[in-house]
Amino acid sequence: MKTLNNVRNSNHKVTDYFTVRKSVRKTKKQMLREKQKQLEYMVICEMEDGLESRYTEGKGRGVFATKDFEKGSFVVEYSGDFISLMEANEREDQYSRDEATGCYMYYFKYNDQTFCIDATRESGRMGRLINHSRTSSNLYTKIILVDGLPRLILMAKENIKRGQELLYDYGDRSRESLKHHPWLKS
Amino acid sequence: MFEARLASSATFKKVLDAIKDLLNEASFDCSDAGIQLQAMDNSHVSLVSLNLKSDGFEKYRCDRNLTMGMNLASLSKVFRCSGSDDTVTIKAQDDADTVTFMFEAKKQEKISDYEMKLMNLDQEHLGIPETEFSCIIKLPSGEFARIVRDLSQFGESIVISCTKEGVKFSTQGDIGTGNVKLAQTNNFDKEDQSVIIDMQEPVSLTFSCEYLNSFTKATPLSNQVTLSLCDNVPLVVEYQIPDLGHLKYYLAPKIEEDEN
Repeated sequence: MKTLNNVRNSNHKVTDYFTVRKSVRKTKKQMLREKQKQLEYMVICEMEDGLESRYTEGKGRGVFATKDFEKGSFVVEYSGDFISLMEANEREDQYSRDEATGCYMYYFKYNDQTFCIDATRESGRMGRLINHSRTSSNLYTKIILVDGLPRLILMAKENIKRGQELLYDYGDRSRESLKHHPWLKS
Repeated sequence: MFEARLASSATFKKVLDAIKDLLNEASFDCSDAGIQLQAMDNSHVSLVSLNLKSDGFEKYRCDRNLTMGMNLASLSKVFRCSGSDDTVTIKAQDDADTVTFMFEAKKQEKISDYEMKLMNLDQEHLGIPETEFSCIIKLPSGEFARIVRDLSQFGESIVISCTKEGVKFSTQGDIGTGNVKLAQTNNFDKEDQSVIIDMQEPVSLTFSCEYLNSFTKATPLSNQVTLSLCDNVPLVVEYQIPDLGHLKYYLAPKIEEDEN
C-alpha cells in the first residue's frame, strides 16, 4: 500500500484492542525443529548432567546414571576428534602398536562416506568412558549436524533408572578388533 | 487426510480476491468444523477473519486438525487456472508439505490438478472479545463500495457517523469535502437493497480509506455488507458468503488529532 508509512503513524493497530493469543499447538515440523535445536544446544554446551564415572571390576572405568533418563532423551555426546577414514586407519595403526591403548574409535557413515570419531585422547569427557554391550545396551547412537559438522550423540534407548550403568553397542565386529578386544562379542 | 470439495471454485476465487491485497500469506486452519483463517495485514492495522463451514462443502473430510500456510499470490495463480463453473477439491495428507487443488469442469470432460508447496508460518492469533456495538448498519455491498471509492478521491480518511436518522460518510482533503448520507429504508420489500440501522448510541469514527477500499474487494461475495461500530473498538465489516460462511474485516480507527 502506498500510504503505508502514513497509515502506521496515524492509525491505531488492531493489537491495541485485541490481545495476541499465541497458539500453543505446534505443527509436527515445528516440534521436530525445536527438538533438533535442543539437541544442538546440549552438544554445544557439553551437557554431561546426571553421569558419573566409576571403576568396575574387569571392565575398568564405566559410566553410571545419577538421575533417571527418559526413553529417547539426550544422554551425552561421544566427543572426540572428527576424522576421515584415511586418518583413522593411520591412527589405528599407531594405536595397535601399544596394547595399553583402549578402543575409542567410533566409525559411522554420513552421506555415504565413512568417518570416525577418535576419542582415544584422555579428554575428561564422559562419552568415551561408556562401556560396550551388544546384548543389554540401553543407549543408541545418533548423528546430528552442529554448525555443519556431524556429531555423535548417545540417546536413551529405554527409560534408564538412576544407578544403572550406561551401555551401548560399539558396532565394531571386525576380526581384527575381536582379536584384540574379545569382549566386543558380549 | 484432508479433503474438501466445493461446488463452485468461483466462490473460493472471490474469497481470495477479497483478501490477497491485504495479506501476502496466511494459514488456513482446517478442522471438523470447517476452514478458518485469521491474519493481520503487515502493518497490523486490520485483521481478516474468514470462516468456511464444513456444511457448505459438497464433501468435507478432516481426520486431523491441520494448518496450511500458503502464499496467497501463488494460491491466486492456481485459482486463475480454474473455469468459472468448475468445482474444486482441496486435498492434503496429514503431515504433507503440499496441498493439491483439483478442478473439474461441469461435464467432467476436463480435470486439472495443481499441487502447491505449503509454508510454515508464525501464527499470531488474536482473541476477539464479544462486543455490544453502538451501531450496526446493513447496506447493499455495492453501495458501500461506491461510497468508499467516491470519497477516497478527496481524502485519506472517512468519518462514519451514525444517528437514528441515518448514516453519514464524510471526508475532507486539499480540494474540498464530500459527504454521503444514507437514510434508513422504509421499504423492506427488497431486502437486498435496503439500508437497516440498529442503533443503541450515536457514534462517529474515522477510518483509513485505503483499508476500506481493500475491504470492498469482497463485494462480489455478497449483496449486503454489515458495518458494526463502537467507540474504542475496531470497525467490523462483514460479508456473508451464502451457504458457506463469512468474511470479516476488523479495522482499527485512525488516531484523532487531539490524541497526539
